[in-house]
Amino acid sequence: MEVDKGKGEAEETRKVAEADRDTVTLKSSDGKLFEVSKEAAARLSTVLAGMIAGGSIDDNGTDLKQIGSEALENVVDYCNKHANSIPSAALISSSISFNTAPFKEPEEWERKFVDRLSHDALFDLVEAANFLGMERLLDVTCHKISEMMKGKSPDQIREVFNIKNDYTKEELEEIRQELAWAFYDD
Amino acid sequence: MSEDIVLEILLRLPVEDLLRLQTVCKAWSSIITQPRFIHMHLQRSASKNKKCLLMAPHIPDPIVEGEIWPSTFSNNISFYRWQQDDNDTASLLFAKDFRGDFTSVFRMLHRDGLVLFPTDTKVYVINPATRDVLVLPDGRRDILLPAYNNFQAVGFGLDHGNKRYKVARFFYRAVNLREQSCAMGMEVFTICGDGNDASWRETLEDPPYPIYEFRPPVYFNGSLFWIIGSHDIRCIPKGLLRFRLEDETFCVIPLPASSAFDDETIPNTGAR
Repeated sequence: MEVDKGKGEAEETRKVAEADRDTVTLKSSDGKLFEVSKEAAARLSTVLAGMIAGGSIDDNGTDLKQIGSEALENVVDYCNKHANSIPSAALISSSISFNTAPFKEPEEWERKFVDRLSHDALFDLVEAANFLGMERLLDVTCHKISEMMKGKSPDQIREVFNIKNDYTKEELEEIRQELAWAFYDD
Repeated sequence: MSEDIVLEILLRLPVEDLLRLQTVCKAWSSIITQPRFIHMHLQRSASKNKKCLLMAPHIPDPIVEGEIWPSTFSNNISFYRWQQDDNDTASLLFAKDFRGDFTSVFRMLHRDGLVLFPTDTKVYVINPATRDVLVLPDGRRDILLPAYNNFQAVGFGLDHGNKRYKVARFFYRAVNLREQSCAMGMEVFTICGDGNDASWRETLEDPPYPIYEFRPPVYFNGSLFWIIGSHDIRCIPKGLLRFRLEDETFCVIPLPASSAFDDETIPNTGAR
């Protein structure tokens, strides 16, 4: 239900935005076009803000070759939802500096926004957020991924992140013995 | 996934998970153990978590009647954490039995989750969250200390320059009671986390005045503050001795001139 509502809203915002002509068009790596509120894009993405300010926005679709259509749709959806939600103190402070700003929990709608995503979609979105310099979205997606990781074993983590174990058996055993308490709850 | 993103994700995990995730791969391990990451993780959790109390009761075992300073502290040391939401119950973070390694425990100091734990034999730095116990090597023997229960005049804090924690230890080189003169020194131990540079180093500058050894220093903004004074040596200015951890220099902060500040009534120092 949440998915439908999200897409519906995005469609509607797109139509309104087109009428106002206050939008930018973004093109995914696979050639799909998406419209997003210029104001929201500039506010939420340092990279898009720079492109808008520098006049390097293409009316026929600004190429974002690094981002696939599914991830870009989520980015645009997020921007548009954000434009509709009331800006909170959390956003204002987190936009100043990502690493030093006080940590703010994701808001309810942001939590729902990432909860509906599959693993792959979430991982693509975090890359897109990083590429576009979207600090708040990066915060929300990283938070979600960290929640998924809590309490998982290194084996499970390697599988999810598709990481090859480059330790030897001896090295692993050494670390495990040092940190035995962290591996087996005592 | 790029290292930047992995770092952002790992920053949001609690210490227990991070310790375990060191074994995922070498790249993750090097992210987790680098000082920059540790510093960022500390800042993040300090701004996120509610303030909590860290408690480490030290208990005489057995109790000896009539002792001014207990000499039979239990070697079972437990660290408890208490937060306001915890419904009156503190949770046990870490316990360690030091098995007769010391008899006296002196006042512990706490900073950023690290505990400086001075005893009459060794000085320890303990991180209850990672359960790391660092035993500092023996410092320079203080000529006065055996008479005072082997008291260790230590303090510690963050060097703002290199973002390392430094333990500072005040000691006497010589005391001449008849002439009322003394020579003092300060030595510094830098906690690196990687086992290198694991030794005490004397500061180039010596402390200009003795300090009350039994009053632990207060850390504030990159400096340690001791109360100037001595039970044995007179003619000393009243004030605080400030030791800057970054450049390892001293300066004296005089107290307001008032008869209210005699040796016995100097208020305890404190910082917020």
